[in-house]
Amino acid sequence: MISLNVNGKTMTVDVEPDTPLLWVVRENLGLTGTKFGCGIAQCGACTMLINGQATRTCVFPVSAAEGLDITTIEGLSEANDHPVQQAWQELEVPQCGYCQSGQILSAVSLLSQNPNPSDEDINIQMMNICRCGTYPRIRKAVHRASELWNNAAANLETKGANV
Amino acid sequence: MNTLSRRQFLQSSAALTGVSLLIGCSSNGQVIVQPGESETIDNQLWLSVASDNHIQITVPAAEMGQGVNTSCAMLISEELGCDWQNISVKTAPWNKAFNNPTFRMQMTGGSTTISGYWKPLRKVGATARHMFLQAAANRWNTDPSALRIDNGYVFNANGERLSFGELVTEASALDAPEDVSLKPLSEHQLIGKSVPRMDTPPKTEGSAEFGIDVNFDGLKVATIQHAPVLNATVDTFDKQAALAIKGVEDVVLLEHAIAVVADTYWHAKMGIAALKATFAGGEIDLDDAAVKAHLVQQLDDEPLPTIKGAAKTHDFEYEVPYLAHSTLEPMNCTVKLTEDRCDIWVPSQSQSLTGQIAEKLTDLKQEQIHVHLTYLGGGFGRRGEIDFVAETIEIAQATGKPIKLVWSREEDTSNDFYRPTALTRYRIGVDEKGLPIAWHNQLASPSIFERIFKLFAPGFISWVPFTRIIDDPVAVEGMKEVPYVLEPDFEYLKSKLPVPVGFWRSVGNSYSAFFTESVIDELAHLAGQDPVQYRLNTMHDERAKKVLSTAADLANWGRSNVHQGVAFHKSFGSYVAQVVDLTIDDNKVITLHKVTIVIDSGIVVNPDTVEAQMEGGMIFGLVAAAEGEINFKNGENVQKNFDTYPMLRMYQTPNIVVKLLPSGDAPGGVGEPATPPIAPALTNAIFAATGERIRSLPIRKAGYSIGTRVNT
Repeated sequence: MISLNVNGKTMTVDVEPDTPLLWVVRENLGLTGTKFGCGIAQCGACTMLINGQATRTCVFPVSAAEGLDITTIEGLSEANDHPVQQAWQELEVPQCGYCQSGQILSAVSLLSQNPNPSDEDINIQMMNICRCGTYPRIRKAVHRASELWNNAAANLETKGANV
Repeated sequence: MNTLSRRQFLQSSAALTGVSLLIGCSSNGQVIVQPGESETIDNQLWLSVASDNHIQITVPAAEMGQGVNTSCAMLISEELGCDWQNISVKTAPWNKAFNNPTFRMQMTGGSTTISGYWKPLRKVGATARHMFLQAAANRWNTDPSALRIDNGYVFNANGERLSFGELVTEASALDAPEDVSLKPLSEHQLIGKSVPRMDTPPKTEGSAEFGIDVNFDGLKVATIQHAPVLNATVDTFDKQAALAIKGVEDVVLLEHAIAVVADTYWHAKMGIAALKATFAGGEIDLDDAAVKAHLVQQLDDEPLPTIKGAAKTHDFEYEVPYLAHSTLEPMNCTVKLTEDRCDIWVPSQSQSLTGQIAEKLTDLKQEQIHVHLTYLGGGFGRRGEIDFVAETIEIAQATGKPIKLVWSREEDTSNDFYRPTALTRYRIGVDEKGLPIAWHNQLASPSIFERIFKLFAPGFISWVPFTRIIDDPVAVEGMKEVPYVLEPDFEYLKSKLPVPVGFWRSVGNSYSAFFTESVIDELAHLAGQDPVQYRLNTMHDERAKKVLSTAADLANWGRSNVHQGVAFHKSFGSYVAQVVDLTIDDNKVITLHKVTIVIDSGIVVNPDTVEAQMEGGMIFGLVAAAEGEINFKNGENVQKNFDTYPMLRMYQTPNIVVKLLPSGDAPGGVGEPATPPIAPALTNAIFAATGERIRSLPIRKAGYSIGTRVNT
């Protein structure tokens, strides 16, 4: 049995230790928001956050995930209102939508380390494939999410000062 | 369904969820549903308005990212005058009541959803509107013309109002009106405004259900290995080794493939590896050289005529390779089959073809076969095929279990119906000014229709007249007619090659735009004229001229400090011009500065969706022009996954400027028309920068690559 911490909950699964985390989350835990695209860590559809870092889970053995914090798209927010999700909605980013869970989590990873990314930073960090070609909107949405996230953080600080 | 006549409409008060006004349409032109038969009407229901004001709209087409859930709902809502917030949508089941009039079947393709359903959907909404007006008029004892509808309410002259929900009982007791009038375009309130897409929220929270996500108790997962060599068959395999893998339950041998059924995809995949299958026979002599030799021979056998009376004669030869679709969601399908019922959950572009293959492979009748479309993780024409549906049904039949078949990426790339390869020759005579006076053109390319025709003869004969099938209308689109010559002499030579070919976003236009727009660019340069002006001088269509000149103005054509290339192409009823701005370094690494796109797609329903399709459609073509090529060696495709069949990434994607030029009284297509022009706009810009004319795609064969974009 392998114990996993997924979206803040501890879950145990009975799988072979070399099973990719992607398939354990999709098939054993039933969280299907994370997608399968290539199986060789090329496309990023399988991106989850592992200890806050965007990680391609189609080649990440489940045994290596024990004890780490795993966040999938389902665990990003309660009400689909994380600043990155809000920005994605505002700019109408998705087309087919299949890659977008991975794109969103990649953006969350980028912004949590670099709250004000330049276009150059986005070029380097946002390397997931979108077959529909939503790249221009993803770029705009990352910038917009940066604003929303920074504003939210500033509001929290202001509230904290008032208490 | 061609037109919605009065007799085709039906209404009923349904007993299922309280009283509703239900608007449906029978397939045989008769009112077939009476109150109480809500099961029957449910299969043909386009619109229901419930007493709690909830409105459900059935979208006849597949949502694959092009935004039809929203734009189809907009067409009904515009005429109905309802509160947009109260609408929910579902995708139509398999029923010919939902046939796209363009194809006379349920097929989401050819950029035809809005143009095909433009009248039927608005008529559905208008019929309900007229019935609510009449019901309110009866209540207030007045004439419907004295009333108005706004946001889900009927208002009278005294300012009193009744919600649709309050009127459904009376409205559903009325006869449907004979011939409803549609709003004039000038009165449209919703059509032409950017409306947020209904599928956006589920797609940002991971709750949108794609085919690969389908799950229920008892469902088994299969994966498959096809013979790697075209038309080869399975020779040997170790069944016991596969069954020894934990979770593996069955091994199923198919005609050109072998499948493993397990409790999970991962176990099934382990099972496939354990089989160590070998394959025999097939087209082992097929390779790129053999393909090229066949095309060259076809053209050599039919020499182009000598041109007399021209000041100069120019010959050109162009070619494109096979291309894969590479939808990001690999092919998959889920089938639950019992003695008297078949349920199919599938990301498909066609309910009709899905249902028909189930009808063919089982003993079931149409009413026993239930097709449930999920969201599609990309379509691009690949999901108009039903090979993976047939496989899933066969595996379900062989095992007696409900099956979800999921292909690996490698299987997806290797078992595609590829965009056809094509080789073309031109002989063009020009006058003293360099303008074309004789235009001879031949195309050698495999025919998609030849295969389709054999598979689906009856349906396709009703769609396309027989004589046009022989000709293959999609192979010749964009070449048989060109914007610059009134009567091109064009000949299509159908190639006989064993590689399966299919509909790839923009189909024949994906190569014909490259050919025509490169050749016209060559002619402009040979004439010593500006490529935009040369095109404008030879074009006949005013809409084309306006689109091209608008794009040139917007891109600062001729005044830019970078190199520019232009292309124009009309397809799917829409006119698109694109200008590429680029620079190129000494290592042939291209920096894309900007792509300017102008489209006249007639009436625009949801402008933001059209812009998104312009961006995405262009990028789809750019990927192919830059990198796309499927090669064959010893009968097997060389590229298998994204490491060898690369996609462009964010850092390579240029800034894009889109301008819509709405016009006319009918909508054109938007899903495909942005794909064709980018290849020639790119290669024309490369010519402007380097003097090197690229006549064979992708550009990487000539040593070019797309580097990091210019950041803003």
